[in-house]
Amino acid sequence: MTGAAIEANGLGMTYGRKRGWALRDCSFRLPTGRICALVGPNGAGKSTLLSLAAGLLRPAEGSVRVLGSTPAEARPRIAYVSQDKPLYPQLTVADTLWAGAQLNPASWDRAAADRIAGVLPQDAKVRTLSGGQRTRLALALALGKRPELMLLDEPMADLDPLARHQLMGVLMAEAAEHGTTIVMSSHILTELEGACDYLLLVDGGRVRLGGESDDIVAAHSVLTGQARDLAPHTVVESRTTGRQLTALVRREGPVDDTAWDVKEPSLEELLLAHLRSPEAPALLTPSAHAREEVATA
Amino acid sequence: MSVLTPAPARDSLRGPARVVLRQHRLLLRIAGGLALATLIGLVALALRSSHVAEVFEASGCPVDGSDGNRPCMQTARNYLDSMSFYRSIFQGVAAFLTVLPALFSAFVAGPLIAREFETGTFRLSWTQSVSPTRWLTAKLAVPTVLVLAGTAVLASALRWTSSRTANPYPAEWHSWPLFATTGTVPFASLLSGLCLGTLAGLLIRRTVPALAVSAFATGAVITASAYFRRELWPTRTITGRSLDVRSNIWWVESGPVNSSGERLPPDLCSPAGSHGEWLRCMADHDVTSQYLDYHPASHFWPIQLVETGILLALAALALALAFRVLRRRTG
Repeated sequence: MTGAAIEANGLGMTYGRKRGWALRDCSFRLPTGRICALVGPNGAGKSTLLSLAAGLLRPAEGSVRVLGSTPAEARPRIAYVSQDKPLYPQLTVADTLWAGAQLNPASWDRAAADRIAGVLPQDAKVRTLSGGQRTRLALALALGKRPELMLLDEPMADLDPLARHQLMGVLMAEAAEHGTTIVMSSHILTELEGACDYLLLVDGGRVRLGGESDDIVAAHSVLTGQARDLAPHTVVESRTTGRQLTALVRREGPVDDTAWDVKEPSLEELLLAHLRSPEAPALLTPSAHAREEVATA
Repeated sequence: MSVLTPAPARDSLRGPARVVLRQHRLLLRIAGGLALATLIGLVALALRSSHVAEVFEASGCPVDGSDGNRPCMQTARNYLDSMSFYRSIFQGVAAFLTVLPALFSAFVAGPLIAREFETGTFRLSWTQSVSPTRWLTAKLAVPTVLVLAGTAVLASALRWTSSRTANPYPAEWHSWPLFATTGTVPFASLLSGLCLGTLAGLLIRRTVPALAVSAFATGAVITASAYFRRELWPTRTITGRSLDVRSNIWWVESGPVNSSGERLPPDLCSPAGSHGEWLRCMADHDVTSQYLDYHPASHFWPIQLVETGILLALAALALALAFRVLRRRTG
């Protein structure tokens, strides 16, 4: 059995009673070695989930285990890049990389950091860098730590398409070479599609979909045909145009393909359908189910 | 899969300590430069004042100008003016050292800790291989060692140089800036400032409010400890018809006592009226003698140590709370 990079059991977080739950009753498992897209609308709880996994927040309820231990114990083996790419503004680029080496003496890999930060002006103060340059430096710090799990919160938001493509390439090469697990959050799916083989859809503080993207897509079909009962399938979203019905369903048994025109949905269609239908039931593939015995450990 | 062996505690503090030093390099240089300039200034002033004193001594003029010699009186006046000016500078440095804990506290609370929360860089600091507890320890240890060492050097330089101007303006051991800048009290005040600042920074998490609150809180502690200092050790009392006032004592309270030994309010008989009225008032209240509560110079260390103990207890409490707040916030 492969270990879990992240395993959440009934995880919940609130930032004070008045503001409600940022995350509630989250249970899922992310196996190691995956490139996982953490998607969901703004304010869905993606950043909260990543902060909890990085050990920056303590859960209000439930638990999260990372690489088989608590987030605090796993700290040397995790890298985390926050959405706003915080860096010490008064240090130079070279100083920042030096600080990375000082703060991660056991694992620091200068070459890995330079692969991304090498193009930056080394003597420039961090406060003078552009948004894209800051992202580069933040990612370089994360890569230089040579982590087993990278938690990246909206990593590509500030980058132009060329830089995005290049940095994605470096991350993917890193993951392929060292078996690093990567979790990347985004509210723009196209940013991650193609690179990721695992998917977590978070919406309204809950995990709505979790598992291998291929399996999740394969579990759904877009049915088009004359309006009639869709049972036994679970309807995620349906639309009627005249007598014509188009529905995105989760299949519960074989589909009568004489009555329906059956098509596989794109990942984007699937996600949008789920976001538009908050009452559609959650789907976790077997590998994404939290295991109870770990929860009690 | 790499297996990481936990680094020994000293090693895992060294990295973050170096980073803290580099982060605050500019401020450290400025503070170090100021401390060095003050030190040089104090030494120069001490040399200058001993020179002035020697020159005056050589002139053979009495300080009080009692021989009525006009040029000599002018010389004495010039000498006294210079010495009083030098003393006021020493007093100024001493006063700065007494408020240093409040400034230090503000620095710890604001730029050192709260700014990390305000700008979000704590998310960077806490996700390196160093735990938040170690991060805080390193962050506090570096400036504390530097400030304590700097204070030790400046306070002893101050004592040495100030002894050079002891005549004609002796500093009393219990006077406000002197007591708070000698012995163990200055270090205990700094530590309580450090710990209050840490707590304020972690709780308030915004630079300017944290800075203001901690400076205010530490200022209040320094003021309160100066105010209640005389209560920290039981005073000695002398009573008698006329008080034999010894030199070098800390005069706490004096007043009239009646024949049954009861203490009466110190301002019972106002000396504003005529002497006859005053005598009649004393007789009316059956005043037979006077009392004086005072601290002899031998109470210096007991008072110092009690005050140090209280400040350190406060510091320990604030620091324990601060680490508790930190541990509750993070996983």
